[in-house]
This record gives sequence, C-alpha cells and structure tokens, in this order.
Amino acid sequence: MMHKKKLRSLIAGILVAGAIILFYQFNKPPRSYEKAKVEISISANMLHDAFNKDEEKANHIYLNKVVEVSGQPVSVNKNTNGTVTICLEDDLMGVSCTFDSLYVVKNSNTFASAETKQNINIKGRCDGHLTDVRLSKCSFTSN
Amino acid sequence: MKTYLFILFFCIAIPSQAQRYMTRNGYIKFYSQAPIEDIKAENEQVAAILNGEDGSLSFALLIKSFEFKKALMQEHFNENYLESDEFPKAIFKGKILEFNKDMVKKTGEHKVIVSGKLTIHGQTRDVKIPATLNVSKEGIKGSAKFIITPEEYHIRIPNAVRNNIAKEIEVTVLVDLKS
Repeated sequence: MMHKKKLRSLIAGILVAGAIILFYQFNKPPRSYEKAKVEISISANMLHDAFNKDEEKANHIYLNKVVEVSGQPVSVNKNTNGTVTICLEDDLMGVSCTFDSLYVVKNSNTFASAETKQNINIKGRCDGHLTDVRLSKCSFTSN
Repeated sequence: MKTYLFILFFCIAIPSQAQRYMTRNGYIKFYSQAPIEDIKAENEQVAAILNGEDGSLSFALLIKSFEFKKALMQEHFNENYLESDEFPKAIFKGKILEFNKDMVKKTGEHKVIVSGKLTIHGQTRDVKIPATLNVSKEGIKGSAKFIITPEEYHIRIPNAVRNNIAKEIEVTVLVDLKS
C-alpha cells in the first residue's frame, strides 16, 4: 500500500518536472550572442569575397554561425529603432554589422569611438548576403 | 575637344539624373493571430530601392534576420517552415502602377498600387499591393500592409500544429527611403 503511494507521488513529481522543463523550453528567449563562442574568425574583405564568388557555398559555411570579422569601419549608422549598424570596408559591398538597441545603450562609449578606428573586431550571427554580408546580434570583441 | 567634353559630360549627367531612393534598414513585420498563440516576427534589415524615374522598385531581405520573442519559434520558422538554409532570401521586384514623378517629388501623401513578383521560400508569385508614399524633404516614407498565405509559397505546416498557425499572415512594410 505504502509502495503504491510512493510510486504515485514519484510519477506525479516526474510529470510536474517534465511540464516545467517543457514550459521553459517553449518560452525560452532567443539565444544571447554576446556570450556565444566565436565559431569562425575572418577578415571582413574575405568574408564578402567568399559570398561574392560562390554564394551557395558561403551560405553553407557561414549561415547561422557566430562569425567574428575584422575590418575598417566606414560608417556608423543609428537606426530609427535604436539599433546601430556599422559597415566594415564598404557601405554597400562590405560587411554590415547590426547591434541590438540594448547593447548600444550599454556600450555607447565604444560606438562613439568606433568610426575613428582603423580596425575593429565584431562578432555576430551571419544571416547571409544581399549586396553586403549581414551580421546580426553583434557585439565587439577585443583585438 | 569641345564635343569630346560634351559627350563626357553627357555620359556623367545621365546616370546621376536617374534618382534613386534607398534604404538598408527597412522594417518588415509579419503577424498572425492564432488560437493558442499569436505569432509575430520583425526584420529591421530590409534593403529597398526605388527608382524615381520610372517607379520601379525592389526589396530584398534575409529570412534569418526575422527576430521572434521565443527561441523555439524562431528555430521552427527557420528550419521547418521557411527552410532558410536552402532559401535564405525573400525578394520583391516590381513597379508602381501608373507612375508619375509627382509621386516621389511632390510633398505629401500618395496612395499607389505596387505590382510585381514576390519570391519567398523559392516560390515566385505575382502580387498587387496597395501602398502609401509619404514624400517630405527628408525623403520618402513608404508603407504597405498585405496578406499572404503560407500555402501559396509551398510553406508546409505539419498537421499537428496546423490549427495553431493562422492560414493568413499579415505583413507590414515600413521603409524610410533616402536619395
């Protein structure tokens, strides 16, 4: 009798735990790319070349990966929604890195000095290629 | 020498006359109301270009740049529904119907109809979309709202979740075009 009761509460416990895990899995916020490990490190020019030469192959290698690029910032644009896009090497044919508004607020000093630098390193999620290669959820990495 | 210079000047002047308005940070949102949960995603990295001479325009965006509130939704959207590894882009190419230059030059609001080809998930369909152009000194603000259905673009939704996803998805477009 005692046994059955124990077993029942054990099963109930497992079910509740399972439900909680499922609930959290379902409601999990998007991954934080600020803490994510860099998977591929490459210069901005080489990344753009790779997409220019063979987009399909480059998609295969870089899409959805945490890519760190280094290059010369040519423009820092504040977007209407509070995000910031830094273009490396070229405005239209380079690598565009977009930073979330929250990250921009926390690191406003770094953005102020970014345009004057010769070279900066940025990591972010590679979304693909339009005329430029797009990185999202960006953050600065130290040289 | 004079003719040579004239021809040279002419060659330079013609391309610069064709005025283009563009943005790299346009906004597209899609939204669908469903019994269990509303689905909403935003893309703030839309490239758009409008030719002020003939009213032709094109949009391009990356599917992976759509951001959801929930990681799982974003994952399913990319991997199962839009298959963004295989079809990373959505593209629209078309023109403003009955275009005249006043639509991009004259300050104020202009109601227009945009017609062209929309490619999503590797499928191209003809679309006709009512849109608004708001012309000011700073540039042109374009906006549009339209409905698409996943079926049209061969986006397969499994039976198990079919009832949780609306058959019609509302798409909102906002672009701030600068010359």
